[in-house]
Amino acid sequence: MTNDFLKAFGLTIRDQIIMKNSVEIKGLGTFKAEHTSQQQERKGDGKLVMLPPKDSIEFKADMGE
Amino acid sequence: MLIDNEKFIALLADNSGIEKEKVEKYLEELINEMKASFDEGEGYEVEGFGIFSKLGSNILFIPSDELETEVNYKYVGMEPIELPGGAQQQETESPEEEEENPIQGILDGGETEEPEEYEDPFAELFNEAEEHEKAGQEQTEKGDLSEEEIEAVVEEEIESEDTEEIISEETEKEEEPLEDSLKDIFGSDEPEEEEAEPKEDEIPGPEKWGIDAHKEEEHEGAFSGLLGDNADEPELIDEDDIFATEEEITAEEELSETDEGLQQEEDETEEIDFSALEDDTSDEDFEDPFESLEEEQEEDFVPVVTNVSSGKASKTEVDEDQKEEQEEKTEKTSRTPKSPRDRKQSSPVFLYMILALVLLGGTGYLLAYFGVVNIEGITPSSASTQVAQNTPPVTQPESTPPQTSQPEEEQQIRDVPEIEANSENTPDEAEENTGNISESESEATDDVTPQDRENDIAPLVADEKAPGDGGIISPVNIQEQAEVYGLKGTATEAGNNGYTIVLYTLSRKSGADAQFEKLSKDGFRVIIKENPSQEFGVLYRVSIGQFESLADAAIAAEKVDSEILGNYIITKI
Repeated sequence: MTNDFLKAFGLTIRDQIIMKNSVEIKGLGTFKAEHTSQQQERKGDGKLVMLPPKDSIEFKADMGE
Repeated sequence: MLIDNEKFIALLADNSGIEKEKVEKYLEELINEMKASFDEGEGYEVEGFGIFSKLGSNILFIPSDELETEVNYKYVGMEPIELPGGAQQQETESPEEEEENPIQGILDGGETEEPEEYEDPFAELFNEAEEHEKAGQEQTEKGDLSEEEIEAVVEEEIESEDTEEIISEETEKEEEPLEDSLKDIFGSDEPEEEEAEPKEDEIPGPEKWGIDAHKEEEHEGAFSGLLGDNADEPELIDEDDIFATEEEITAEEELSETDEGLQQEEDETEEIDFSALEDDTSDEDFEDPFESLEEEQEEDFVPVVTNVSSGKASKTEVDEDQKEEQEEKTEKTSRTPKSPRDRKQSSPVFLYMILALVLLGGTGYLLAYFGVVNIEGITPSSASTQVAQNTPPVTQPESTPPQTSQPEEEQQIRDVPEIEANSENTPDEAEENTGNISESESEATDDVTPQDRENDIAPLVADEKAPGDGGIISPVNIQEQAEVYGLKGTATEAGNNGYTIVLYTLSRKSGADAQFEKLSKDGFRVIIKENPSQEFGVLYRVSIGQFESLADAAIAAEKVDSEILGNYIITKI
C-alpha cells in the first residue's frame, strides 16, 4: 500500500461523489452524496437567512455484515 | 448511479495507474489497518480525504475540510444571504404589538396629550396675564423701590461725591479752577445724571477733547442746556490755558522775556482761547441744525451731490470756521463714499481679470478646436472624395448575396481596404464630419474582417480541441456561424460570449481532463475554464454547451440526461 494508492483512493471516491455517484466498498461501507438545496432559516435574531445549497458526504458502515 | 466494488477497483486502477490485482490487495490492507486501529480504539485518517472512527458498532466518517470544500466547489462564493422578507416579517410582527398600544395610546392620548396641547395656550394666556399683572406689580414695586433706590443711590453718590471731594481737594491744591466746577456741580445736586457725566468727562476728557470734540459736543448738545456749559468750560479753559501757557512760554522765551508782554500775550491767548471756546459753544448752538444735516450725511453715504449742495447752502449762512468744519466734514463725507468707489473699482479689476482669462481660454480652445478640425477635417474631406469614388464597387457586392462568388468579392473588397487603409487610419476619429460615407466604409470593412478572422481562428480551434473535425469546418463560413452556439460539437471561440451548463468544478486538472474526454466522447462540446480562487487555488470548471441566451441553455439542459447533468448551474462563459 503506497501513498499513490491512498491518494487515488481519496480522489476516486471524491470524484464519484462530486458526480453524484455513490461508492460501495466491500468490507468498509458506502459513500453517498447528499444534496441539501438552498433553504431559508430563521436565526435567533429573527432575521431570515437564505442558506446556499450544499453537498455533503454520507457514509454508511458496512463493517457489521 | 451506484458504483459497486468492482467498478470502484477499476476506477482506482485507472486513476492510480496501479494494476487491478495490486489495487485489490491494497484495498484489503487498508481495510485491515482500519479495523486494527479501530480495535485499538483509535481513528484512521486518510490524508486529504477524511477520518474514519468507530463509535460503538458504527463507523463514522468525518470528511476533511479539503474534501468538503471540493465537493462544494460548485457553490463556491455562495454565502448566507439575509432576506429582506425577514425584516418585513419583523416589521409585521412589531405592528401587532403596536396595534394594541395605539388604542391605548389614543385613549391615553385623548386624556393626556390633547389637554396638554389645549391647556398650554390657556396656561400661557393666564401666565401672560399673570405675568403682566406681576410685571405691573413689579413695575409699581420697582417704582416704589426705585424711589427708595434713588435715595440710596443718591446717598451712595453723595458718598462718592465725598470721595470726589477728597480727590478734588487734592487737585485743588494744584489747580484752583476745579473748585469752581465742583462747586458748580455741588450747587446743582438735584440732577443725578449730571454727576455721572462729569465723572466720564473728568478722566478721559482732557485726552479726548482735542480729538472727539465734535462727537462729544454733539452728544452733549442735548444735555448742554441742562448741564450748563459752565461745568465743561472751566476745565477746557484750564487745560487750554495750561497748554497754551506752556507752549507760549517756550515760544516767548525765545522771542522776548518781558513780563508785561507775556501777560498781555497771555491775555490775548486767553482771549483767543475763549473766543475759540466760544466758537465751540457757538458751534454747539449752531450745530443743532447741522447735526440733522450731518446725520443725513451720515445716513446717506452715497449721494455726494446733496452733501455739496447742502454745504453750499450752509456756507452762505455759517461763519468761516464753520465753513472750514463743513469742508472738513464734506471731505469726510467725500472720503467715506470713496471707499465704496474703491470697492467698485476693486471688484471690476477682478471681473476684468476673470473675463480676460475666460476670453483667453475660450479663444484658445476655439482656435485649437477649429484648428484641429480644420487640419484633420480638410484632409479627410479630400480623402473621402477619393473613397467615395471607390466605394460604389464595394456597395454593389454587398447587395448581392455573398455565397456564390466569395473569393472574387473578397479580392475586390481587399483591394478597396488597401486604398482605404491609408485614408481611414486618421479619419476614424473624425467620422462625425465625414458622415455616412465613412460609416458605409466601416461597415464594408466590418463585413470583410470577421470572415477573415474566422478563417484564421477556426483552424486553430479545430487544431486545439478537435483535430479530426478541423478540415470540415473551415471551408463554408455560414455553417460555422450556425454552429457558434449549441450543445454538441466542438467549442468555438465566437460562442464564448454566451452561456454554458456547468457540471463540475474540480480542483485537479487531471480529473477535469478526464471529464473533458468522457463528455466529448458523448458528443458534447466541453469547456474547461480555469477559475483562480483565493481559497482553493485554481479550480477547473467543467461545462458543456455554448448558448446564446440563458433560456436556450435551460431548454438544452432539460434534454440532457439527468445522470450526466446532476445538479447543474447555468452561467456565463
